[in-house]
Amino acid sequence: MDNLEQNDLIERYLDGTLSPAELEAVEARLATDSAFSAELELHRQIQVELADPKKLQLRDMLGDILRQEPAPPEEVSPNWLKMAGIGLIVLLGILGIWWISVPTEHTTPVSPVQPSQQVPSQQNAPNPDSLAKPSEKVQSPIAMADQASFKLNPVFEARLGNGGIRSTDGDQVQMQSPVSGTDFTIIKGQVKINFKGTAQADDDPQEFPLQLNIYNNKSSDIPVAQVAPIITNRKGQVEKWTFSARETLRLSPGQYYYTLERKSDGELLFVGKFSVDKKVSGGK
Amino acid sequence: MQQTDFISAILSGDRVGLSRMYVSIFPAVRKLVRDYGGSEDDAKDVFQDATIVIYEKAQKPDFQLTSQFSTFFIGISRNLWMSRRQKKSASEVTIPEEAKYMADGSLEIDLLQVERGKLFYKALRELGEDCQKLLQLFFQKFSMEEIAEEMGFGSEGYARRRKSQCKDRLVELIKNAPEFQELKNL
Repeated sequence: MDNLEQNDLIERYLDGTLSPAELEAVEARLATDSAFSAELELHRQIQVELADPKKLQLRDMLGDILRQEPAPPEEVSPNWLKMAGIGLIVLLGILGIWWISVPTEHTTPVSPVQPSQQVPSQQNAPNPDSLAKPSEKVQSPIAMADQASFKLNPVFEARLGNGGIRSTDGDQVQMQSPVSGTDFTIIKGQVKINFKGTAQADDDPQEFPLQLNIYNNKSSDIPVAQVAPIITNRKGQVEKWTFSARETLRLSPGQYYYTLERKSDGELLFVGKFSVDKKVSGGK
Repeated sequence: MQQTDFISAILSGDRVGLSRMYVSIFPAVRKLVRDYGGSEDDAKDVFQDATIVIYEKAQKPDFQLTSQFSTFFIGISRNLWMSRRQKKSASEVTIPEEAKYMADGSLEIDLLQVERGKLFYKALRELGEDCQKLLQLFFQKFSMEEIAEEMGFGSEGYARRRKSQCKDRLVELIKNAPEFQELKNL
C-alpha cells in the first residue's frame, strides 16, 4: 500500500465511509501498528485544525499586521507612571510650600470683603519700585538701596504731624504695632509686619470693616498693598474693636506709609509710617 | 474602540479592529516577553498565538469574559510564553508563581495544540495556491463533485487524485518541519 492509498484509507475512515470489511481491517491494524495509528491521528488533527477558513484568514491577517505595521511604541511602565505621579505630587508640594511662604499682600482673610468695597485696581498692585520680585535675591540691600526710596513723602508727613504717628480723631484708633518709625529688616526677601491696634467700634455689620493701605514714598494715592484686618472681638457689644493683620510683605528697602480707613465711608482713621532696611542701607 | 470589541474583531476577522488591538495590547505583551528573556519576534509570536487561542476560546458557547480584555489577553500571553520557555529550556525551568494564571481556568492553554496549529498552517501556506484552495474545500467537507466544479477540474476522479497528491505533500511538509519533532516532546 503506497502513501496515496494509505491516505485515502485514512480519510475514508475519518469520514466514516469505509465498508464494514475495510473498517474491521483498519481497526485491527490500529491495535497493532503504532506508526499507522500515529499517521491516522495526524490526519485527524490536520483535518480539525485546517477546517476553519475563518481561523486561517485570521492567521493571514495577523501575519500581515505584524509584518506590515510598525511596532507600537514601548509601553509606559505603570511603575514609571507611578514614579512620575509621585514626582509631580512632590513638585506640586514644593510649589505649594513656596507659594505659601512667598509673601503675599494678604495673609488676612479677604474673601468676605465685597468686591465693591475693595479697590481692585489697587489690590495687590505690584509697584515695581517698591516690591521685590519673588525671584529677586535680596542678599545685598545696600546694593539695592536707592536713597530716593527713603525720601520722606510730604503729603503723608503732613498727615502724620509731630511724633511720626497720629490718629485723625484723637482716641479713635490706637496702634500697638508697628511702633512709629520702626525699621524692618528684609529676611529672605520678605518683611514681616504685625499691624495691631484698637479702633472705635461702630455698627458696621461687615466682617472686615477696616482697611489698611500701604504706600511707598512715591505715591500717596496708589497703595502697594491692601489688607483687611480681622476684628478679633467682634462678638457682643464692644466699645473698641481689636484688629490685627499679620503680614508678610515683599518690599524693597525704602520709606513706607500706611493708613487705616473705615471701608463704609472711606474715612481716614490713622496714618503711620515705617521703613525697610534703612539702617542696613544707610538710607537718608 | 472598546476593549470588549476586540473579541468581535477577532471572531469576525475585522482588520481595522485587529490593528487597533495590536496597537493597544502588543506593547504590554512585548514588555512581558522581554521581562522574561524573549525578543521582539518572540513577542510577535506570542501575540499572534494568543489571538488564536482567544479565537478558539471565544467560539465555545460557555465563553464569558470575566475580566478586562487586556488582562485576559496578557494572562493568555503569559501562560503561552512561560510554557514555551519551559519547553525550550533543556534544564528544568520553574515558572515563577506570579507568572502563573492557572487558577483561572479560562486562561489555560494547550501548548501542543497551539504549536500544532501553527505548524499545520505554515505547511498549508507553503503549498501552491491550487492545492491550498482544494484542501481547504476538502477540509470543509465539500464533496468531490463540488470541489471539481469549484476548481474547474474535468472530473470528480481527477479532483480526488489532486486532493490526494496535495494532502500527501502537506503531510510531507509537516513531517519534515523541525517543529514536528519538537511536538513529540511536548
